[in-house]
Amino acid sequence: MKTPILLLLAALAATAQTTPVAPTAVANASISGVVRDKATGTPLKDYVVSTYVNALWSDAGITMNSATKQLTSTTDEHGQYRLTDLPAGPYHVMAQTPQGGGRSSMTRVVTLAGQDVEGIDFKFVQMGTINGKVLDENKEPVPNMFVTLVSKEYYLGSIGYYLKSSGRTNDQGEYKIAGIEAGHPFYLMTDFLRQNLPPHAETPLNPQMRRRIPMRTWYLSSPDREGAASLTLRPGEIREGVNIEVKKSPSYCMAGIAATPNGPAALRVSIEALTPSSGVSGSGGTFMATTGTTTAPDGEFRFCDLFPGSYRVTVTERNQSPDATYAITVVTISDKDLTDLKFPTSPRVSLNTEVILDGTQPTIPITVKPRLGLVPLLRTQNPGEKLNLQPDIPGTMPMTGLLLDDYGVRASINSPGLYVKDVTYAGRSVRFEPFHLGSAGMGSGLQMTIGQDGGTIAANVADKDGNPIADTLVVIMPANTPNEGALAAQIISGQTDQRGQYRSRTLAPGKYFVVATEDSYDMTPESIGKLWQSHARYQEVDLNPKAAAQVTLQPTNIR
Amino acid sequence: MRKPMSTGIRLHFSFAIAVAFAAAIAHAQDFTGRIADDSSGEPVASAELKIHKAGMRELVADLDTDRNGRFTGAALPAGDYTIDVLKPNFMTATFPVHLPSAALQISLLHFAVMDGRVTNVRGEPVAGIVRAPYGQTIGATRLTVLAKQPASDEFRAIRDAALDDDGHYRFFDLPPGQYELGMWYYGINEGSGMQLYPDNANPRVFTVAGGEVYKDLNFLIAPNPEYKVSGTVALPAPGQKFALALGLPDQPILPVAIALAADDGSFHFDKVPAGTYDLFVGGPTGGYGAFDSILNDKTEPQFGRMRIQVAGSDVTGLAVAVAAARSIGIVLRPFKTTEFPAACPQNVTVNFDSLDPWGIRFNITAQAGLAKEQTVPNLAPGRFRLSASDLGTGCYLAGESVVDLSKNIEQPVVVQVAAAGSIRGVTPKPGDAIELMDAEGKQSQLAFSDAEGHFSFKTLHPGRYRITSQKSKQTKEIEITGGTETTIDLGGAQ
Repeated sequence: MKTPILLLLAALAATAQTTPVAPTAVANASISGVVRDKATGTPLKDYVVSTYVNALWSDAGITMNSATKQLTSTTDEHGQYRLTDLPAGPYHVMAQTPQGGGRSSMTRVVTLAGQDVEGIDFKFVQMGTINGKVLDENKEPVPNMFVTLVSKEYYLGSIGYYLKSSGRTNDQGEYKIAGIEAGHPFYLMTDFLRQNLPPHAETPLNPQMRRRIPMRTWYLSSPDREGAASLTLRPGEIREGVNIEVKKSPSYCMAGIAATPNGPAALRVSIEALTPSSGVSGSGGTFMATTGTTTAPDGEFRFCDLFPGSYRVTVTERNQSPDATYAITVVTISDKDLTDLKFPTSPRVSLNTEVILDGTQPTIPITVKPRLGLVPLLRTQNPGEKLNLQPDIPGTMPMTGLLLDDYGVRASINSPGLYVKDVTYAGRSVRFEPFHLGSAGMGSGLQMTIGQDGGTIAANVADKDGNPIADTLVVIMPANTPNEGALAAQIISGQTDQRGQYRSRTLAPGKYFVVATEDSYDMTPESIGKLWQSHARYQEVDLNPKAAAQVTLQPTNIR
Repeated sequence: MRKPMSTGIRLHFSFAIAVAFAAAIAHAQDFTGRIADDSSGEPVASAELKIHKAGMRELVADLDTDRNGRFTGAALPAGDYTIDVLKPNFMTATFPVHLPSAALQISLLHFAVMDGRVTNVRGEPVAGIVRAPYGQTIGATRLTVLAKQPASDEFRAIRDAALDDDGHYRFFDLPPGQYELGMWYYGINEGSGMQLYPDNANPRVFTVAGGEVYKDLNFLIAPNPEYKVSGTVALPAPGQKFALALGLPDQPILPVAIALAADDGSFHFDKVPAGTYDLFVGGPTGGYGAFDSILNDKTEPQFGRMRIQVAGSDVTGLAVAVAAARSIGIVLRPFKTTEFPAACPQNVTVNFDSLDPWGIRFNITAQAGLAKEQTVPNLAPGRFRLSASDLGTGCYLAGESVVDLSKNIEQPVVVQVAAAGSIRGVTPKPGDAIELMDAEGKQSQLAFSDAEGHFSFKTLHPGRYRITSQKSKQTKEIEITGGTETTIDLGGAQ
């Protein structure tokens, strides 16, 4: 899993340079620098620094082709790396910890023009570690508990709780979660998860004869997330003794029948406690192993050891074919068993999409295609679910194989002047908000409006003496956002290259506030709240239609 | 290099559970008791008791113990029940009980623990997993617990763990048995290699009867002269991805080095100590798991292998040929008779488990039938163990179960099945532990008598056995023949 802020920077900075540079006769060059610990300045050995040649950096990150090649260099004992033989053009250079796995990486933007570029240094903030024990009310260690790091952050316009990494307790109830971003407040939650359940739980029918069961518990020892205590680590901190005392709850059961349109069948039924649950957030996605069973041909299931709360129950066909039917239902348990539940599966649905070009017909036909996609918010994409389109402008295209479920919209276009003006579902803007497919009647479709009068904002970041400052964050905030959630959804940022220069992707005309900073921000309410408080004090830019606005900025503290 | 095991060591499974009916201190209708650790006598808190009634789908009660190890259940109707006692890191105990009953005293047997660290000569922890960008594992230190197989001197890997950041590992779920501990490492700064604990020449055998805690089983990776091994795989088509691994012929459980060939087929292993190795290559690969590559299922796999010697200098310029995977025919036949045993199915699913460290995950199953020879494609030229999972309780796989496809073998490969015997018996005592030991004293199994004193053993290989009742101290010798049920009474006269 990526560290939230780093991925965000990488994704947004990638949008700044979307046009391939025409081949020129200039010589190939190298990029070099040093990887250090940010706090101590110690050179870091065995870090892997890489980039790609013959690739196009774009909204989705990177577009590769058959000529795309990855170049890597591993830092030596002085922390030094060198990437050589690079043609002129823009590059995103990524440095990764030796453990790799995307858990910790940093990106810098470099523009090459035939000259070797030195001093592309990376300063790694060392990750933190939490360890402790999970104990029950008898102070007994509880093995096989999942302990999950949870981030409270803005995503798609509102605050949610999102799973990050997790650890599992050993026989002594000990867990350890490493690779924790410093300076970011997190919550800890512990759950008892069994991956494979029998179709029919053997828990006694009489609730009086059931033992109490471990329930989802938040650090220190709270059954609800409002009572959770947050933890913020310093760089490299190892926080010991973060013990969680697991609460116990009466054990409840839910039982019923899963059936296809042709009647009961052997189906896969899975269950997951809400919220938080597996799903995507602004910084990626985290999916825990699913808990569930495969029923006998009678479709009968009985799940027990459930504590009060809401659960997402998913019924799928075992064959996972592209047209397999499914059911997704939210079931809430309060203080008694639920029986005779019926989960009939439904066929897949289609969603029509239409792309509209705003304004007058252009004189030259538009050949570039926008990307319009949906991302399931609480699960991974199903086989047969066609969620990503590249329709013509104007044009229509169906998305097929969809489920009646929660989705978020991903829309982008990659061309001078053109930008995504809005995306609506049944007339409501869903560009920065989630939507539930099926909430608006089956005839409703997605409509994407492309504006053609967009402009760009370029920033030169320099200190008070006019010296350019590389690797500085440039943050662009639309001026008309009504609240913190909207600001969080619409904020844009990127890094300056080695010349202190940054250029945004194509933006809608209008008023923006722009700031350059050596701080960072993230999607936590604390961080967004500060930007919301102060954003109107930053440099105001009126971006006129089709304009290329230029600002010069000095780094400012945004914390 | 494997030393023969002493046959004198045997395991006292009968200590797995002890149930005592204490003095009648409880009220007649109450169902109470206490659970203690068999080795320490300490109360076992937060243990779960599942109380079954024959013929009922759900439990009649699901209880747990308090911090003093005590449990109390609401009154249950008089009758016979079966109780499972579960506690993580303890062996699950199952026994019958007649209610109403006096308070129960139950002892649970703790699983054994093996715990230690792996460090280099500077005292620093070594890396557990080394990943390339985008997550593929290119180096690892893996600890493996090897369990002695019943009725043989073979030790087979049953548990596998990577090191945490501190170079620490911990196995904590080892049931009674005999074990060795091994460490395989590759692609880490310290190089690659393999060590048994405490040394390869004299591996220690850990005998677990229950609850043993083996701490500080530490490994030190000392520097060795190291060499490079490099060469080129003759790719069937350019750009295909092939996986390579080096294995020790004497210790082929895990590879001691892995590598991926570049698009032009070139490969290199760094930091290989002197020694004799098998070099394995296979592909094209289409993905990877935590440690192994996965073959691309759209292309016919190709494999190659060669024996190499690393002695005092780098080995360069190896030309590694690959050839199409092997296929073999398999048939199902009765073992040592002409008549097919009635208890055996005429079609069985046979699993092929690789016994060589290819660094590739094989997932090969095939049907073996009595009627017709079946072809099993996509096999690597190495050793595979054949096993069958759906034979039923009256049938077992007999004869040779390992095929070595690095050599020419007689085809078709005959999968042999034989009828198993069984025992049905009775003892005067319910809840009695009955131990069945084979004639060589190498292998024992345990059953508990039910409320009527009945017990049974199934899927027994024909031969002589010794059967012992723990409570009545009766011992008898019996002969088991295939396809028949032997009845025995451990209460009556000899």
